[in-house]
Formats: sequence, structure tokens, C-alpha cells
Amino acid sequence: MTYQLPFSEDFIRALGDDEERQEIVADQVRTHVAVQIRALREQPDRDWSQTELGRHAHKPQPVISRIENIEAGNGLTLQTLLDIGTGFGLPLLIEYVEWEEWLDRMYRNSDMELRRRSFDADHLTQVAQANVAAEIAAAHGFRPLNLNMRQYQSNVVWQNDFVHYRELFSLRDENARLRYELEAKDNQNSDDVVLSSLQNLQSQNTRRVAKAI
Amino acid sequence: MAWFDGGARVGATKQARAKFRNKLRNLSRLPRGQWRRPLFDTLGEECTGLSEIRFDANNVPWRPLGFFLEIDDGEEVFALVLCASKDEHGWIPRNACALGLSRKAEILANRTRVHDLPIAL
Repeated sequence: MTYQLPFSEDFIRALGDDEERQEIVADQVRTHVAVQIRALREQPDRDWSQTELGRHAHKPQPVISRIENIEAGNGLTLQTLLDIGTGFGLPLLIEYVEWEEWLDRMYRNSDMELRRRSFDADHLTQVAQANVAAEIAAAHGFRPLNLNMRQYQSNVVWQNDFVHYRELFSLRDENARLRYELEAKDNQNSDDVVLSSLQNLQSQNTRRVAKAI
Repeated sequence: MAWFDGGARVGATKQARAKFRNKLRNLSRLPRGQWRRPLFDTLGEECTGLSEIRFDANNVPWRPLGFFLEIDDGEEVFALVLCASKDEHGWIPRNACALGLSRKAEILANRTRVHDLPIAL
């Protein structure tokens, strides 16, 4: 797996100091949580005040305010994070990761990078259908491998009126997997067939109106 | 930057250095419009014209002060003018705002007074 954001050798050298590394990790975890909760709350399709988030998460507004204050995050409990997730309709993922992944993901803190969609059965159904379509394509020996990112963006993601980076990456990863599995097969027309199948699949689904940018 | 490089003797403990570096790393990856709380704030009243980077270290609320400076091609950089902090009575140093604003004026009058911050991000 490759990661997008650069980190300098000098920064890595600073992380070599045990004490500084611990401070940076603790500070960034709190920063990431605080910044993401504010970003999710202010996401255009929510646009919630702290009080509104408190109502959804069953917390008083001062608690939300404290959570969004990085320095007050020392006493933040797992249960509170779960409650906030419930308020947003979002799952919580906590795991230990490789350093390069941490350095990449934890600093993706712009509003756009932190947007997340609340639980949406229609959307998840679409994802499931797309997976089925990819499997069907693979079973028939089609080569979606030559559908480049631009085609995916214009025909699959953008046309569907929502933008979600993770989705884009999962399409790309699926493409890479199929490329590996189907490399030996050669069907000049398969890209068009797969693209057409995906477009048909998309058109059958409900159009979404979450404007991501 | 003496505050950052000089160690605890002049104020920056290891925790303060780590947090300051981390705040800068975060802010450097955000568009200017998203420089806001909890990482950053634009100041008013006696500090109007200055902004602060916000972090606490060793129970001290550090507030490095600065302002957005337009450079050659219309691009803006954040120019730090003073690493102030706060206590129950207000700013440390007490004249942090006046000092920061005078340094800002000095920089605007002579842009060779600013230089790149040698902190690895």
C-alpha cells in the first residue's frame, strides 16, 4: 500500500525521540478526534450546532464543547466516542496501525477528507451491487483493468452525484485486483461492456444528492 | 527560533516542542479557510491583526502569535512574531499583543525580516 502525504526525514528523526514521539501521537489522536467531530457536525448535509449533536448523542452541549477542545480530550472515554458515533450514525474504528499509515491518515484533517455518510442502507446496497457487478465481470473474463481513474470518476462516481474518496479508492483497489487476476485474458471490447454494465447498474439506483464539494 | 530551539531554559519543554511541531504539521496541510479552532484562532480587541496557534503543554496554554503575510505571487504564509503564553492574569509577556503588532509592522516595512522556520514537518 502506498500513502499520499509526505513526511520529511527530519520529522521522522524527531519521532526517534521516545518522549517526543509519545507526545506527538497523543496530541495527534486528540487533535484528529476533535477536528473530525467538528467537521462531521458542520458537514453541509448536517450543519449541526454543538447542542444538536448533543441531542443526537444524548450528551449535554458542554460535553460536546469539551470534546472539541483538543486539550480537554484527556478524559475522553471509548463509550463517549461510541455515543458520538451513534449520534452521527457512524461506526467507530479503533486499531493499531503501521507508522506510515498512521502518519498518512491521521493528518488528513481537512473538512472534505473528514466527511462521512451516516448509515444509509440504499448506499450500502449500491456498494454490494457494484461488488456483484465486478465479480460477474471477472467471472466472464472481462477486463475492467483498462478503465482508468478518469473513467471511473466521470462514469461511476461523479455521475452518481456524490464524491467519496474511500469509494474511489475501493474501486481503484478492485481494479488492481482484477488486473492481477485477469492479466492473461485479452478481450478488446470488454472495457466497454463492463463500463456499460456499471452505468446501467448506476442508472437503476436512486440518484443521490449529497454534494461533497 | 529561540523559543523552539533553546529548550526548557527559555520556555519550550519537550512536550511544548512536540505539540508545536504537531500543530504546525496539521495546519500546514489545511487550506487557510480551515485554520480555525481548536488549532488556531483569529484575535480581536488589543490583538486585532494577529492570530494565534493554540496548544497547551505542561499545563501552560501556549499561544504563538503571528499573521498572514502575502508573498510574491499572492500566496500567503503565516509569519510567527512571538511565542506568547497565558496565565490567570492574561498574556505572558503582558505586552504580547503590542509586541506582536510592532513586530508585524516591522516585518511589513521590511520583509527581509522574515525567514523560513527550520522546523521539520
